[in-house]
Amino acid sequence: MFKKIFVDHWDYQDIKDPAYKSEVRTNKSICYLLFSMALIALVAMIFFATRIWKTNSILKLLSCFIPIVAASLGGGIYCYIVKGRQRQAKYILMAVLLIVTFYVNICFTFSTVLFLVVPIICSVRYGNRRGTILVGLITCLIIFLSIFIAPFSAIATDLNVLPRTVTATVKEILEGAKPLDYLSYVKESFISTFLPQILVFIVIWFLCILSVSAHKHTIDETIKVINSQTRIEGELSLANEIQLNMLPKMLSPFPNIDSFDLYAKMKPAKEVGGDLYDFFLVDDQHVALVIADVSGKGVPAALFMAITKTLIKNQVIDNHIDYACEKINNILCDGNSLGLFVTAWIGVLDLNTGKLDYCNCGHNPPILKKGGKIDFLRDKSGIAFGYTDKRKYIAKTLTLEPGDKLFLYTDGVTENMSPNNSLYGENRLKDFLSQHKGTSSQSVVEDLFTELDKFAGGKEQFDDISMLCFSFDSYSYKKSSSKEFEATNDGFKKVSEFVEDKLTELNIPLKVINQMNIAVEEMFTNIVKYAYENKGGKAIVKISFDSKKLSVELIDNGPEFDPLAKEDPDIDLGVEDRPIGGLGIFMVKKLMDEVTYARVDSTNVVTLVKYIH
Amino acid sequence: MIVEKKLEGNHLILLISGRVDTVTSPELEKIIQESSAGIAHLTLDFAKLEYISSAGLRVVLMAQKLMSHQGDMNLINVNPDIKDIFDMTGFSEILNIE
Repeated sequence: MFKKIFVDHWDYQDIKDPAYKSEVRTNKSICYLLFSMALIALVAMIFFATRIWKTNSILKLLSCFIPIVAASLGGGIYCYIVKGRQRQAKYILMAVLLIVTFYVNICFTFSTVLFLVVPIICSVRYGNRRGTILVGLITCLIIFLSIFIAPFSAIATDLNVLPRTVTATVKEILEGAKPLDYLSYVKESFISTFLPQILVFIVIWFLCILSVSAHKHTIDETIKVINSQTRIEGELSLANEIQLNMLPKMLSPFPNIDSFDLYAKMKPAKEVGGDLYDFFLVDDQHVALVIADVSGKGVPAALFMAITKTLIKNQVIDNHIDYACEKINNILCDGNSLGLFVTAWIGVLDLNTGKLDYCNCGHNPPILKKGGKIDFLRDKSGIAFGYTDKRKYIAKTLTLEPGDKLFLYTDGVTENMSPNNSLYGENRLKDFLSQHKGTSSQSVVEDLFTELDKFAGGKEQFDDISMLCFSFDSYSYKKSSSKEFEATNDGFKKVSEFVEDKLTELNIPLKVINQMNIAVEEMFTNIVKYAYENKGGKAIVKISFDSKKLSVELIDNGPEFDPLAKEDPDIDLGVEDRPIGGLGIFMVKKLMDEVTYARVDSTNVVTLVKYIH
Repeated sequence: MIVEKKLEGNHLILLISGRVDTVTSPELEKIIQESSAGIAHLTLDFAKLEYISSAGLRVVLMAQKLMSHQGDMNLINVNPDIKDIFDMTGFSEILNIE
């Protein structure tokens, strides 16, 4: 209640301009000063009422106190209502103070001489030199005027009302025994009252003028500091925006690729952080996943992070991952006078085969969910970037299968703190991920952020938190390629080159390439011999790789002929009994997982299928 | 396909490197036929053989038939992938693979 009336009422935290803020605060002080003056006036009235202080004229008493109380209360209430926020409030308040001073001075000429300095001291806080000079001048005028008015208005008990040099005694004048010689009183008052008062006042006045300059200077300095602070804060928030913009956008980053589901998010602790995640296509078959944490926070960390991000991307696109790490480290060590370092985990996944090459350079172990099992990938490849140069990094390899998930994070996750200072830790993280029911990577990341918020229980975030969840859904689909060949015996050479090149591109294991090559050769030879009877013609070879299924189709325009209908040779016969030839089709059937024949639009289509494990 | 010939008395060793397929097998067949006269032992060294198709197997079977009349034939340094093919086609049973 008290706080609401006296503190919250004024609440000037929203005011940005420090000069105006200081003015409003001064208005508030003077408002309370006026209220207390009204109260003190009432106390003084009690002294008179109880005749501790004596007066000979109630009329004089009232004509003095009523304006004082009225002006004080009026000014105070006005100021309270406008919350001291009107621009003209300071003029009104100073006027009220001067009016009160005037009445105090003409009623209690000597006892209240100290009161003369109240308006000028108050004016100092407005920081306006001219205003303070003007208030001083008006005060001087009041002192001067009171010489002439005081004989008619002074309260009788103010024993100093008349200069001691005036011949009549106070008592005589008060009691009306002797008339006051007005002219001689004014003359005496001017010499023995006005002059000493005004000289002392001038000292205080001068002091106040000096103070107001100092006060003004302080306000100006504050304004400068606040302005530069605002500029720095503005730039920091820009830096933050730039940094967040540097991280890849989450809105369908790879619209043409549906073989994985990826989601990443970074939540900086301060305005700018040192965490970094990244993902990009190295080529149309490899995706790189990166998470890194720069030591320290703030602008230095953010700058280092920006360099690191660019370096990692450039190096990983150009080099094999372990050599890329070596180069990144060498470059980051060069000219690293602040001794910053970066822990990083960098992985490059072959989307056609699921082969994942990765380097863990001093970073938190990622979590791999593979075939229902969940565990940390604790292999280390080398030390964090930035400590010492010329270090070697050893890439590790594993194979992901569709359905496997990889979760990368920075230590902001495991070192997230609860209100009683316990850490979130690896075990809780592992439990969370193994129990999480959501299917999308986004739900994993968002739900874990919610979980961490809950765990922190309102405690301020201490470190940047970054996460990247990668779910490998299927092998990348590669567009099928097909080519037309001359169906001659020599033509096979070109077919063989085509098949080998394409299958090598698809990262098919060498053994399967050889088997497929043998099968294609048999079928092609078959076309040459039987479909075109060695007279030549065209044959089309079409290769497609869909997830795990590698299929090669051979198409010819010859008369309908099903090579698979031929009976298998007896392979248990001895050397002498074995016919030379006739093995080809049999081998194809043995080597392939599926062989089918179809007659489509007057073409013969043989499809050879091999499943890659 | 490159074939290196080494003759030690009546023992002929053929080191076959590269590919034996539809295109190259006729050449191998010709080499074996031309150089097998008066040979009692024929060794086919497959150390550098990368690939063999049924056309190649045909030649191997032909050579085996030829040599079983005038001596013997063996195969050495057969790599596992090619051995698989021999197993699959039943050739392992009729060839002398070391």
